[in-house]
Amino acid sequence: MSLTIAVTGMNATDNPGPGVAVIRAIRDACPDCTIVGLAYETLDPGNYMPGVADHAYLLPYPSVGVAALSERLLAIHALTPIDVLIPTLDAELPIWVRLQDFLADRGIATFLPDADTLALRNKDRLHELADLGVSVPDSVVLTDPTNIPKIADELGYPCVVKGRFYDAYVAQTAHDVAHWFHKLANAWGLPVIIQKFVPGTEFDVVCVGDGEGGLIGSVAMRKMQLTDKGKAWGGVTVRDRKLDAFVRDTIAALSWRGPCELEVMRGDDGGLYLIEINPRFPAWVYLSAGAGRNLPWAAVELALGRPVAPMPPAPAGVMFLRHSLDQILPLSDFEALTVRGEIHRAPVPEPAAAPSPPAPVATTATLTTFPTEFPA
Amino acid sequence: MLDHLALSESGFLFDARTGLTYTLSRTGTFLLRSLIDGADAETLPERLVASYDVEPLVARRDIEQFLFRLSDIGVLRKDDSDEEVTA
Amino acid sequence: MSRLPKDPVVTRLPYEPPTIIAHKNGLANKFGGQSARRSLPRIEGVPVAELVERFGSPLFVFSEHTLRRTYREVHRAFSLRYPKVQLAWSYKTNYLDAVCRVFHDEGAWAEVVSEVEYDMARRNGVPGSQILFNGPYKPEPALRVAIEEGAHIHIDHHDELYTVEKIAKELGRKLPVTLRINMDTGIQPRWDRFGFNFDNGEALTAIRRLHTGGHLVLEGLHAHIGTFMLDPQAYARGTAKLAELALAAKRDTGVAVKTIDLGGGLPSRATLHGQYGPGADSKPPVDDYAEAITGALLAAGFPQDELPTLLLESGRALVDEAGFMIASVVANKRLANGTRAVIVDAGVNVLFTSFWYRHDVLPAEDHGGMLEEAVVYGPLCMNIDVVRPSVLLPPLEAGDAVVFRPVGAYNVTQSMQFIRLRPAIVMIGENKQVDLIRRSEHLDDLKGPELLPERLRP
Ligand SMILES: Cc1ncc(COP(=O)(O)O)c(C=O)c1O
Repeated sequence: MSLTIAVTGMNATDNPGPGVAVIRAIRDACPDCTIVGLAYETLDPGNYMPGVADHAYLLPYPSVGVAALSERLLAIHALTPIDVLIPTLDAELPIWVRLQDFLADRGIATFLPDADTLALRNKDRLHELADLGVSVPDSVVLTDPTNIPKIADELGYPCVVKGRFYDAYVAQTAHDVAHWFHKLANAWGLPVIIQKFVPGTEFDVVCVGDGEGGLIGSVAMRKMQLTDKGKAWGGVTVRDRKLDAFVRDTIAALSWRGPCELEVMRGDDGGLYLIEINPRFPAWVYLSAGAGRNLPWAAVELALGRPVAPMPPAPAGVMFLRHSLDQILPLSDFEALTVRGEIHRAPVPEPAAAPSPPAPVATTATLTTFPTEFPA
Repeated sequence: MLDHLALSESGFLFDARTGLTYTLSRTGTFLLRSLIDGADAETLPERLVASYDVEPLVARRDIEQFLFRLSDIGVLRKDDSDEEVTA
Repeated sequence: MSRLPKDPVVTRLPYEPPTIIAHKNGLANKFGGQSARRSLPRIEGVPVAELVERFGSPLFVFSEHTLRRTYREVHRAFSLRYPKVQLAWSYKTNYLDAVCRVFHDEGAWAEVVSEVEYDMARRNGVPGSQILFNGPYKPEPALRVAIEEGAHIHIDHHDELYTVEKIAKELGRKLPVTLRINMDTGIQPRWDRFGFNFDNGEALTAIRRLHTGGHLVLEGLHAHIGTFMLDPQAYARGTAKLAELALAAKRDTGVAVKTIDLGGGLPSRATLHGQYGPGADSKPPVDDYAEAITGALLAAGFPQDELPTLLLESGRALVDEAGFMIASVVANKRLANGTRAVIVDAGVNVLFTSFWYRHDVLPAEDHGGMLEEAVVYGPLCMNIDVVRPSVLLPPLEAGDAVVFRPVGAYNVTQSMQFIRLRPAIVMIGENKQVDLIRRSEHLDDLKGPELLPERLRP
């Protein structure tokens, strides 16, 4: 029987979610898998791209809470039974992590970290990784601006002022810190994180950990072209033994289970520093398939409990360039997603062949609470 | 005369003139469909009561507000003139 | 009314109001039947319609079952992990006698912050020895009564320390006292306006002062680090500091502290306006708090026979979930910008916490029809009277009931007679029996205390 794999993050926009890239990688490895695309927005382009999702469904925003999201997923599962779910967006991860067992009981496999490990990657706790032996830039967590003068002694200038969820600014003086502190505290709440500035070069590494300290595979990339938001629009795989070892040690220290992206700085001092962990595949993950290390497919197999042998390091010099193109789509596809919340390009499996009731149509949940940390 | 409106059974409405799309409730779909098919606005309460389980007074009140809203958001504005359909 | 089948011969389709919703480009926008429809036809098995019919609208409803269940959950989480635990019901959260007595019946002491609350607790039969007297302002006569009756005095500042010392001198006996402490627990805002500061040494100095004065004995240390605290680790840090202070006090004065009081502040299942998902999803379980607090106490290094009693003054976490507000739709409106508005008969006059919380609002009955986002207004002729800025609701008719929850904490005590009088309050008992615990107010309740100067009388 062929597998059905559900993937979230269909927002293949100019600041893309990883869903379409994950699906393309899975399709490379498994041409007859059925793909269910799960989107949070009607206008997420991934819903309409040919050859991406066999079935596209809308989900309510994670902000509606665990109950409503799981209810919706189970309704989808009843219509198109899902074997594996690969979530790809930051804002939804805490919920899926909480629901792991619940989903497993209903036949939906996932391969995710546990809640405690997930919480460790929060920006205000990154310094705790130092206790686990991971090299991170020195940092202080600020809740009170009266402590700003101490930064000069503790970290020195320049330093990086980071918001709890997003945004980072380089500060040269205490005055700069105070400025960004208030801005970031207003935008994302407290605390604000002050990190020692590490001059150097950034590398992004996509990884899959086996949850027992082992690294299944990783692909390191250097960005070649950036969007105005600083996201990769083009890049090339790199190979460096020291970086490989750093990645292996980090995954081991965390016993990371599932996909993640490590942002690593190679300092001008030659040292490597972990800047951030994103607990999911990055939008550029198709590069891993291109480099012969199909990490999304590895995650599927691990979710299913199949043994996956650790992969050798990826070759250097595999390049990607993203492009954008204008997709022509029938208004009826837009209508289907808008009114019924689903598009079917493949037959709906037997037991649930009856069309879903056309009934209740809804606007979105509270606009005022639209997630500040979503989509990724 | 409302030929700029494409309304499907599902309640999905496309306004060809503005490019905007909408969703309507079942009764909303029923009423707008009647208008598109040329019904006189005066007859809408009668039609609604005949098909739906609603008292005439309530039907009249709701239709009045619905039509006001349709014209308020510009759906009833015709292509070639400023003329509007009103209750 | 409008939905009663009129003509039994012709079968007509069920009615829903005609609506049109524009798809807004680029805005969060969700259609397709994936939004769960929710309603709350019954509270603890009692039909909402029946409650409204018997007691009117709006109506506060408290569930005795939930009060007891929540109390037991919290008590159990702590007493499973620590041998000496005592909860004290924080009166200001809700001082309806019926609610207080349920908690006292479960074994709670009382925590009060004024002579008024003190008298309430005494009238509820709580002996002075089971009252914790907190707060920055305890008038001297009130202090004297409380001391006389053996209440636990939690001293907030130096001036109060002197007053209590003076009373002790007059009485000619040593008085046990607790000091309120504030400290940095890594959270904002820091509640440093109450008590003596730990971090700068003020607290330990005050303890030494109190000891050498010879009239007071340090009985306990108290801290209330904030309210609706979503991080259990803040409690772990606060507890560790209190314990460190207690051990330093023992070292410097030879007196072992008998009680450590961590105050209140545990979150309820309410949702803050800025919070991402429903509050109940992100609220850590009470066990996490129990683990943080008792873990820090057990690790602090108290000699086994000097393990202090752990006091807790939880308020909202015990009562919020047990409280509901039934309100009725007064009118439907469309604002000039097209926004749907629903006016109900309960506003911020009785749901004061709407300013902080996104209260869940559920129709008692969902008649079907298209869900649409709406702003929910109260009945006051005031622009600030918004009880939910935005919520997805089915079509509602004037007269339909909606239920707000959880609203058990702080709303009754902070409700006011502004524009409207306050509504009735009922409690649903364990056996679904419904009792009126506060009748709706009359004009005399408001006007009774007023006096008219002779010259203004007719
Ligand atoms: C001293 C003290 N104890 C207990 C409480 C109860 O707090 P909560 O309702 O947050 O549990 C308060 C509330 O402000 C307080 O000031």
